[in-house]
Amino acid sequence: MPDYNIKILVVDDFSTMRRITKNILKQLGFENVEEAGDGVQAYTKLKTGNFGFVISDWNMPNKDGLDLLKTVRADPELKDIPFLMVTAEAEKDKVIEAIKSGVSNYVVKPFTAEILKEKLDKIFEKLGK
Amino acid sequence: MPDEMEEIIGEFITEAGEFLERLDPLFIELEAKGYDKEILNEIFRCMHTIKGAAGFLGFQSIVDVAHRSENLLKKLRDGNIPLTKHLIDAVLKSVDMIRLLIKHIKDKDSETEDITSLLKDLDRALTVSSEPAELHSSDPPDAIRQVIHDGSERTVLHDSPEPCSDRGASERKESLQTLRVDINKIDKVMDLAGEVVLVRNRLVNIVNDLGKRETDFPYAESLAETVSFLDLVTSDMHLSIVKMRMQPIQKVFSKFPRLVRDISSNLGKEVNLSISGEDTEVDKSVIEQIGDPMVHIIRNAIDHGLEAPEERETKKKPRKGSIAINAYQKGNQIIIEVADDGRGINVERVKKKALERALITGEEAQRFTEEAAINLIFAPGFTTADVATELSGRGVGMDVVKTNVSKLNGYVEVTTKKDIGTTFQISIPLTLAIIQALKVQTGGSHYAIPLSAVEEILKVSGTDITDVMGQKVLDIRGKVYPFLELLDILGNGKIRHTDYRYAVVVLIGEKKFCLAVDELIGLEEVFIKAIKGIDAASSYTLGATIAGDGKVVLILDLAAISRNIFGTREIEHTGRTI
Repeated sequence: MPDYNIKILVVDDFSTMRRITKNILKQLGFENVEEAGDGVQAYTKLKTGNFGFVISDWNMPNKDGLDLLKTVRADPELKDIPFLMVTAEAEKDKVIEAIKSGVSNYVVKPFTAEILKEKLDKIFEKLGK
Repeated sequence: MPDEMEEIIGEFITEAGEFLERLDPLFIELEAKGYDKEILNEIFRCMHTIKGAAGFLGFQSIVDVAHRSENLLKKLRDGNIPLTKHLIDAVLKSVDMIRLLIKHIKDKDSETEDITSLLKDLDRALTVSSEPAELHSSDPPDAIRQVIHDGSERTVLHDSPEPCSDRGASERKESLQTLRVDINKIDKVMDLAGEVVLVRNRLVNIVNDLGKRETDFPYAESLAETVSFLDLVTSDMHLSIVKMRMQPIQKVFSKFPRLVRDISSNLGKEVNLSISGEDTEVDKSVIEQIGDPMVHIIRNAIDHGLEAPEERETKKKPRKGSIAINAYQKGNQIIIEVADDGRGINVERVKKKALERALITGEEAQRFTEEAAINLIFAPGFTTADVATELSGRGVGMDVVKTNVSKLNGYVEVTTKKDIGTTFQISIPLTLAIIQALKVQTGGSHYAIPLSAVEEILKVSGTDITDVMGQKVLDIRGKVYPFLELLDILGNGKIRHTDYRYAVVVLIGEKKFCLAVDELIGLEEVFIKAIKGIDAASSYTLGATIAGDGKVVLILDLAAISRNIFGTREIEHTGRTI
């Protein structure tokens, strides 16, 4: 059983997308969700919040998803935080790069609540939570 | 969660719209610069983002169009295929289609579009690079121009924008410090603010009365102090609320480069577009309603104003015609100008056409000043184009301009010089609902005159007023201005004093004249409430308000009065409406 109180950060520069993702998370029972509009904002929030999970889009201004992932993994405080990358199918080849940089998993958009649940479960399993 | 879905879709429509708005200027820049990785990436990202959200919301047509566009853009961005006008057009077509599809979603009209031919075009564009010509940023500008346009027209922004990805980034950063608020909520607050202003006015009046009576009311002083503080705070509050609804006019202007490009291309004219003052902030309602009139004016300028390149050359003018759009704040008004350096409006032809269409009689035509004659172009059904082109010449354009601008309590003026050019100037009041007003009494009734138009007030005696050809005038420091009784214009009541009058000297646009009244009452900040069932143009009022003393007062529409005096009185007398 995952901890439904876990604090999740949703990162995407399109606010409609953040909203959709938040909605899906709510459907799955996760209500403790915050948002960031790009990698820079996200990193700032991660440093100061008590986040247990990151769901990030790839294409963003200022600092994209891959960059954010690398920064997070290089930071001793944040290096173990579960990180789920949201990609479009066209970027599947980039997924390999993400895996090399330490992404926990990836999900292709558009995704349904079921698909997201699957991905989340896989990550939680690995963490032994 | 049907409501939630509605809201999310609403947000998508708004946000996707914003993204698409950013795209048009990018394309224009792309055409001017040639291959630019940053710009192409920015366009790609826009498509990609919209595609992503559309996928979630089940808008498959948008996904299909955006997907192919995205692929095309990626290849262009990475330099895998050369950038040509043909490809830019293909992507532009998909942008337009997505706009259209989003509009259908917004209007909930369940209309579908046939995207199969567009998809085929995009697929074909992807596999075959059909144009032999290529664009490289190292090509000399003239060569590029030839290649892109095959002799057709170009539009160039004089103020070159900042690098697009930076701009996009900082804009998006900004948007996270803003809040999206339903416009109805802001309107409600504005309404309430207006009511507060009126209540404040009443309080101020009561306190003043109290002061005059000198009663031994223990709280008189602290009451006066408190109300005076309330006065300041209310004014501040109102100003802040008005500002909430204001946005840079750039929102309207951003559509123009593409518009000018398309129209000039269709008509075989070469146009140089320059825009300034796009940071000028205006009320949201202005942004919503000023677009159409401006589009008509611009179309007109390109179609009728600007000459064909060859003609311009014979006139020793630069081949490219120029259209300059400018916006700035002047006191309590926002001024928007559209100026062209074309052939000017032929006033004689205008009069002739108006005669032909029986809009005026021969006698009136004789009496018309040049200014009054130019205003004929705003008459419904007026056009001098012998053949209605697809774009204009239907005689509806200028009429729409005047109507829409009047709706905003503004007015439009035209100045023109043969072969030099024509300038349209639109003036719109800054604040819509609350204004400073001068209260006057004449014929036993109270009226409010917008203070922004008042230049000065003079007490004059009967001997100061002279008669010139049936028109009363007043000499003010050597210059002579029309002098009219307010009552004569409004058509009711009798003036009280004949030995002296108060002349309120008003300035509307470039026209100055004097309105004579019995008495001056005072200054007040009033909240205008439009009165249903009264046609503003014929009653010369902007609306009514409740003054500090509790009376209902009509607020005068000086622009309408000015038009009556200077331009169209003759026409109105013959019963035809303009």
